[in-house]
Amino acid sequence: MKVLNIVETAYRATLEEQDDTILWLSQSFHHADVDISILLRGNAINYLVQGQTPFNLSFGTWQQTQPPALDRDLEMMMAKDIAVYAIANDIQDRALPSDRLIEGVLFIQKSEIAELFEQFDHVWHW
Amino acid sequence: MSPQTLSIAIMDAPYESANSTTALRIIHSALNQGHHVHVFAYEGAVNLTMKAQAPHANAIKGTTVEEENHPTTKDWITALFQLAKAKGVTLKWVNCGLCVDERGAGDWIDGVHRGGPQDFIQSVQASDGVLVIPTR
Amino acid sequence: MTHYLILESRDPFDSADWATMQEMIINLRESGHDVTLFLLQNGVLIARKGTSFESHFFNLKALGINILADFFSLQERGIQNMVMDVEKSHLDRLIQLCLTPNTKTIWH
Repeated sequence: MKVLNIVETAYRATLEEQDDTILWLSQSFHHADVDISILLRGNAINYLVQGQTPFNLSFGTWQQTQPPALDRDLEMMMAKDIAVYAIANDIQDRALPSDRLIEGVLFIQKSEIAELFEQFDHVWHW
Repeated sequence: MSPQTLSIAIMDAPYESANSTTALRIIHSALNQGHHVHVFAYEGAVNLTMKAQAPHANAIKGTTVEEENHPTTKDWITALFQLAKAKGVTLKWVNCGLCVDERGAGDWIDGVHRGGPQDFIQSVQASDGVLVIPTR
Repeated sequence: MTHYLILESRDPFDSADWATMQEMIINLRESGHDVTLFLLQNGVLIARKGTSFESHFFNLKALGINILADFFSLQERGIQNMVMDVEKSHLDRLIQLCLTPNTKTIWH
């Protein structure tokens, strides 16, 4: 079963979850033998930027020891042969630094979305 | 018309988004039309089935608990299980276990089961239609 | 050909991404697929006659995109005079469409 998970909402609860929960879910699907791919669009495109380092979160004496590392999560996913697509137009709109984007991402134009969708049995927008 | 199966993944906690009520309306419609429904409740949606939800009065409107008849999503979902039974179809409701743990939402109404993403995938593979309702 | 059922819960007044999704819908249709746009929740706000989005619905309809609006959402928002190209519908119809073979349902 081929599934395309579209990730649009960015940084939603990523600090307290220490993950993007849809990237996490996608990896769970991968473990369940789903042929999963990711399409990043909208603000989620910012996950491609290397060096995202949140300040260490602390409340009183409580200290976070496992902050999220979304760019590295995506790299890990690609290392497991999970294809990561991204909308090139969204990158340009947000002026993402081209010299600081993670490697291995498959960039598509908005006009190519229909063609991409057709490669999958299911397209889920999260 | 022979029953078909709809798989639906939901994420929103109760009382936070229009999505929750719409999702339950969709489930109601599918059951009412004689279809099986498999629900995968992810993240905040695991709070929809918490047994400890309680209605309250409304001092602003001047209503008592009885008069206000404030909905609880756990009562709505209990009614959906009853509807499924009356229609002779299946409502399968799985709460994502890790989401339950981090929210302390483990004390739920009858009919709900603990599971994980693999349950959603298994449901999808056995379904005629799939709907994912994301949260923002 | 795939049938794409797009469930639009957002509106252009609140969501900058609304326009991008509409482009996607047009792209899907122009690629030869059947497309149904089902408006619900605040997505029905522009089904009210008189907004600047009437011509947008006219254009979608001219492309062959079927546009439906959840009657419950319309009632909830007191929308009585509707854009001509949007048809009142209900969740029963949404379920029927979602369960139609070869349908991909996408919620926005």
